[in-house]
Amino acid sequence: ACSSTSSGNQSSGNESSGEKSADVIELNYAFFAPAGTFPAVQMEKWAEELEKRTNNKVKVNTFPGGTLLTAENMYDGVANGLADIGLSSTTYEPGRFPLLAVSDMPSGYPNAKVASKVIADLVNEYTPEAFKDFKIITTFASEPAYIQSQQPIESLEDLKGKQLRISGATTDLFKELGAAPVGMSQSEVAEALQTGIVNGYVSSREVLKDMKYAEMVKYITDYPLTVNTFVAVMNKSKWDSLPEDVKTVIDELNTEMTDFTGDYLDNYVGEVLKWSEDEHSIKTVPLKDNENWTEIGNKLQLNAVKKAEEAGLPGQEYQNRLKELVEKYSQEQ
Amino acid sequence: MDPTSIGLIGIIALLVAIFLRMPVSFAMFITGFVGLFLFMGKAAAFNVLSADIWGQFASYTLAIIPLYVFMGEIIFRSGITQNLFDAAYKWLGQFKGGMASTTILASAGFSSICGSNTATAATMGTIALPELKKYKYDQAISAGAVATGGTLGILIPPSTVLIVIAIQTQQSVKDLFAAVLLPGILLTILMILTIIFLCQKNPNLGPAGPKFPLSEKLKSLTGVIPVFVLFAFVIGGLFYGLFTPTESGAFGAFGALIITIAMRKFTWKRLVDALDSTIRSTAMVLFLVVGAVVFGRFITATRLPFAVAEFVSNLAVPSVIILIAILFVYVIGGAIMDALGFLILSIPIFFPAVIMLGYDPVWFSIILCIVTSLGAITPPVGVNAFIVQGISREIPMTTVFKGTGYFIVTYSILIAILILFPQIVTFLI
Amino acid sequence: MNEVTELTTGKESISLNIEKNAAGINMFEKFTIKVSKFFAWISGSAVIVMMLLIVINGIKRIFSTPILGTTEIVGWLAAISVSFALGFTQIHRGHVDIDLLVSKFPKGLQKVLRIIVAFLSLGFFGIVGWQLFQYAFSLSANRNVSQTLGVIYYPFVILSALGFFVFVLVLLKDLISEIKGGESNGSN
Ligand code: NA
Ligand code: NA
Repeated sequence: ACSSTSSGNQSSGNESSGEKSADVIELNYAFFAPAGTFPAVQMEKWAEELEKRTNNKVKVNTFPGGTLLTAENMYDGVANGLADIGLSSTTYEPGRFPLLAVSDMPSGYPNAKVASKVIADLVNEYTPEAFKDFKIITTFASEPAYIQSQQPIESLEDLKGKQLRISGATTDLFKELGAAPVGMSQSEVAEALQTGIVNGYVSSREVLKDMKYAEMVKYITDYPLTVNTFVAVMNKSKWDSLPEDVKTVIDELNTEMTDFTGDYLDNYVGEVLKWSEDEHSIKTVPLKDNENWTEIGNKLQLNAVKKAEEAGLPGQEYQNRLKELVEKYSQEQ
Repeated sequence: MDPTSIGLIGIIALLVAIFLRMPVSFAMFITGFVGLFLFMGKAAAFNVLSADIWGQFASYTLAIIPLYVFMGEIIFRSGITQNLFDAAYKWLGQFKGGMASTTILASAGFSSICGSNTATAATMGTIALPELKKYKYDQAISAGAVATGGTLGILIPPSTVLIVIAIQTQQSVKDLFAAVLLPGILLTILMILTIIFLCQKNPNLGPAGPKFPLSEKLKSLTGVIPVFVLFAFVIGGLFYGLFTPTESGAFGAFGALIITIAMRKFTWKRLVDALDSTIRSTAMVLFLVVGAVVFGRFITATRLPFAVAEFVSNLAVPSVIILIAILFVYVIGGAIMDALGFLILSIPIFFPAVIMLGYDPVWFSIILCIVTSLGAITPPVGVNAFIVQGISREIPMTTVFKGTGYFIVTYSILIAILILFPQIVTFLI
Repeated sequence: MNEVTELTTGKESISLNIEKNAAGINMFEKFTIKVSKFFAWISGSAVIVMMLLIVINGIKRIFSTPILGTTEIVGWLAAISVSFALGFTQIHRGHVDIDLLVSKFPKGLQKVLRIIVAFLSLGFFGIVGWQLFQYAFSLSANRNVSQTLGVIYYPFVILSALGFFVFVLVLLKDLISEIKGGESNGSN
């Protein structure tokens, strides 16, 4: 379907860079969020490594910021050859990934590294039906989401009725926890926080710096909640057209990128937390009623398991494996 | 053929289609689609037509456009705007170009509650164009004032373009809003000076009206009170934290309805007429926006914007020359395609380059915002100019661009001032 | 006040003209205009509902909790208000074009160009409508649900596709009247 990459190169070979030969393979890689966000950093790193390890036999054109494909259209766009590779979050398409919805629920992930490793294994072992016609390039996860708010939230009582901006399929969880979840477009969150239309939001914590939310909230509730799963996929016929040596490098990068992204995000969040504390006096507050939150989290995960079973998928088996893997990778830390 | 040439051919094809009188939005849709079809294949091209178009249509953020247009339409139909312009005329009409200056000021006021240049142009166009016509203003000046006044929408906070820049370059939204305040006010003043200058030279452009006694001037202000209350409600509500921009559009429209009912100016026919115009303006504006997205997908795929950017930043000349060259690329980019789309594409390439040259990130962000808004009034693809022409079909496109042409000079003066005195931008942060 | 009346009358005279032509020419045109007007009503109602929903949500959240999924519902209403207005906007020639070159061409050539433009637009937007239908089917097959409310939303995509089909109907009407050589309402 993608005629551009092969035909597009004949005349670009004589550009000043000189190193390109006539049969450089070009790959277009699309992502919905802006450059600088951690999945985009991962994308650039992958591009750099692939180019280096194939001695520039492959050239990767990256398209962050939804310029080529948006979140709603990512996987379909790759299937149709609009980009060769697309990186998106399965968390944004509830219903299409019932098993991944189970591992997105609070599962005791200590950090992004463990979450990434666990979910990458799960994606390999229980490859979602929706990815059958793709080549999976890599899988990773965000760090767990934390409540970041203007008033301290230390218990379910504090959370009651609080208007929190949520993203992904977390409505049920927050309704169950007693908050008033608000769905809102990313572009309005800053203003909504500034003006007090929402009391806070739920997200992984790098946004304190990346989105400048540190200026608008004061407290982080020290309790890990849901994660966002990210999967990068390649168009299948594109994959089939690649030479063996390139395929080998891409396969070896799969696990490496899972580890790289987890490490990168955990380190970066560490820096962000220090910066938020020093520059904006953001405080992390502990929970007084941990068990209640865990109980509700478990209940919601069970609901997700049931939904998966209803869809004819091995939900229970998946949850068991999830627990095993969390324990395994947490100990390896 | 290399992708860059394909992109260039695509742009030429777009211009040919537009000049053979295919509606501009249709032309962007169709050339973008055909380009994708030939360049990326059938499946890719069809894909853009479904999920992408749906995603744009079903956007909460873009819902601000019908809501603000509706608010303007209700006020306009109720005859309250008439009071506003009557009052303005009594105070300023005696000067040459006074009514066009009022349009600029009203746009500036409206811009402080609206973050979009297209919504500002559409709303102010609905209100101001019939008035300017009534007071026998030159068509070019009238259209130019409305289209250019609309660009204040993103140069006076809130501003969607600045939010996009802040997120893409990891800067503070608050800082950028503060930084753009003085340049926005300065541009407003420069626009008014431009009108005064032109009308001094040729009084036929904006004829001076009769002089009114002070008592009548003061009396005229009472008719302005409802509008003032509404704007205070919308502006105040937004900055005080009652609502977000999209919400302020809804509350504004709702408030406008309440005011017209309270003033006994409400009729069902007026409501229907207001809705009639609102949906047509909305369809026109959003079709342009989404058409630009489809065409932008094709241009992005050819990597033409990147090729142009790389070429410019590789030149070995003094940094101010490179800066001006880059700004020139933005002007060209904003001329030939959707300026915001071009901005989003090019920031990752140009931004680090310009910061490396030693320019302040906040300062460059504001300059980018200014150049992007300029793109909305430059021919041949100037979204605000199209909107003005769409609202007032009797003004030919060439006349609209003649009118915006005066203000392109104003813009150039502003950019020169900001290059010479960067403190104007960095002062408030 | 005069100005308001003047502008409104101007608009009415356009639609009156179209209606006269329609009555004189055929059932198809009459039908097309009726349908696009009906869709325009729904489009306008969507704007009103959107406004009321946001206002009620804004007031409600002060006293209790906001209405869940306001953002999503407003997005769907916005999509309907735009796509259902497309045909109506085309009837009023509301989409901006640039006539500075074409107005200098001979009348016959202008007509040929108008036919080509109408033909291309008709074909293209027909494809868009069809693609939106296909997209709705794939959303349904993939069991896609919205993020906040967790409900299916493909029916709104189908409605949007219907809006495009009415738009195409109007373009077809334009094409037929151009080819028939009827009075040109292509000029402003
Ligand atoms: Na503004
Ligand atoms: Na332009």
